[in-house]
This record gives sequence, C-alpha cells and structure tokens, in this order.
Amino acid sequence: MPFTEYIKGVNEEYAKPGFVPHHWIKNLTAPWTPFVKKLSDCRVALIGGGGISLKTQERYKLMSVNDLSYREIPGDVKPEDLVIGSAYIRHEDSDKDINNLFPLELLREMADDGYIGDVSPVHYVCGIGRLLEPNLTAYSEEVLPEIIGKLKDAKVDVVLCCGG
Amino acid sequence: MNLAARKAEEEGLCTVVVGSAYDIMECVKPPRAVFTDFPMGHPFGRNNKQQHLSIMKDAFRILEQAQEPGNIVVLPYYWGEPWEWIPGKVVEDHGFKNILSDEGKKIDE
Repeated sequence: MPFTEYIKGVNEEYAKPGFVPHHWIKNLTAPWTPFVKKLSDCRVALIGGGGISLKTQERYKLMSVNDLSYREIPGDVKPEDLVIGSAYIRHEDSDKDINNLFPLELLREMADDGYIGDVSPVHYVCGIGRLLEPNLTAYSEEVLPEIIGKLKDAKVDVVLCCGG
Repeated sequence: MNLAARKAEEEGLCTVVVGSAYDIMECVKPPRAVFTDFPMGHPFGRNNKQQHLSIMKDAFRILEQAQEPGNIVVLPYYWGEPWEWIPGKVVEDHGFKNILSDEGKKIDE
C-alpha cells in the first residue's frame, strides 16, 4: 500500500481503552447504473462532507459523533455563505477556498461552459464525524435514501461525491 | 461519501467519488472513483482553480468511460510538498476524555 493507511492508523488509535473499535464496511462488489446520457445533457449535484453548512444553518459540532443530520445547500449559494465545521480535517486552506472540498462554484462554471447540462437546485452535506452502530445502519438505510430521493425529485442525473 | 455513491447507484443515479483515502475507498468500494493523494479534506487540491477544474474533469471522464464497478483510478497529482497524516492527532487535539464523552461514555477520573 503506497498511500496513507488510514484504517490501520484509526484501528490503532481506537484500540486504546474506552473506545469502541471502529467498524469498517467491507464490500466485495459495487452497484452500477450505466451512464447512457451525454454529460452535457446531465443535471449534476454534489454530495459532500467536511461539516459544511450554510452560515444560516445549525453548524455541525467539530467532533460530531452519531450525527445523522444533513444540510441542504442551494445550487446558487455563494462560497462565502458556507462554513466548514469539522475537527477531523484540517481546513485552514479550505476556509479560503471551499472548492478544495465542495466545488459548487466551479460546477456552475462548467454548466455555463456547456461541459455539463446544468446544476441541481439542491446539494447535500451528510455523514459527518463518527457513526457508531446502530447509527451507521440508520445513516445507510434511512438518511441516504431520503437524500437520494430528494435528488431524484430534483431530476438529478449525476452525483459528484466529494471526499472519500 | 463512498456509501452515498453506492446508495445513489442502487437507486439509478450515476456517481463518481473524488476521494483521498485509498484504503477506505478500497474497503467500501464505490462504483466509480478517482483518488487524489492529498491530505484528507482536500480531494480537489489546495486553493488552485485550474487544478480543481482539472480533477473535476478527470472525474467526469471516468464517469463516462468506466466499464465496470469498483475500480479506483489514481490521478497523477502532487500535493506540492511532503505531508504526513499523524494517527491520533485529532484525539490529541480534542482530548481523549472529550471524545469519550462525545461518544456517550462515562468518564472515570
């Protein structure tokens, strides 16, 4: 493994007394929806993390645990109206340019250039911090389907998932 | 956002993940993914619009071209200087007892 070993590091850290060992999801296969449209005809949405919210919304706790809430971000939001709320990542650079992790402003430029069809009126931030069971299952089986239902209602074709 | 991508594809939406934790992506296995070897929290790079756009276009190219689910395409970008993730730094910064308290544990003094 030539890249940073996050799983090993987190496992070692959470082997300390008092912590619940982190549960890592291990999938052997992945679902698949064939991409059949032209990108220039597609409506695109972002799903991101990093504890991003509108400054007018309730902010995420810096060390969120079992927080199943999500934030809806309008497609025409200005970067300066967003704030990053997470101590899990360093964000001093991204406080100056949120496109580092949530490039909604640039997605609009790509729509203006005709590279994509258009930008969804709604985007989402979710899955913040640590999720311990049964909350991880609730996130997967309840929260994500709700968000995805809203994206489908908004006629979204493609989701650019920011972070992973 | 790997789980979100999987759920979206199950529901008929096409997705591509831009992530910076290769081992986690490999474990969760999103349908389509590109990897940038950057510090966590900066999947599109650092304060560089041309790089942001370039990575977004790389991701969309994989969206268009991927033939099967579960592959991670490593993109050829460099952070610009050496960096290292230090396990436990978050715990050190926030405090062991604070984190246990956040997780709903009773703290023994």
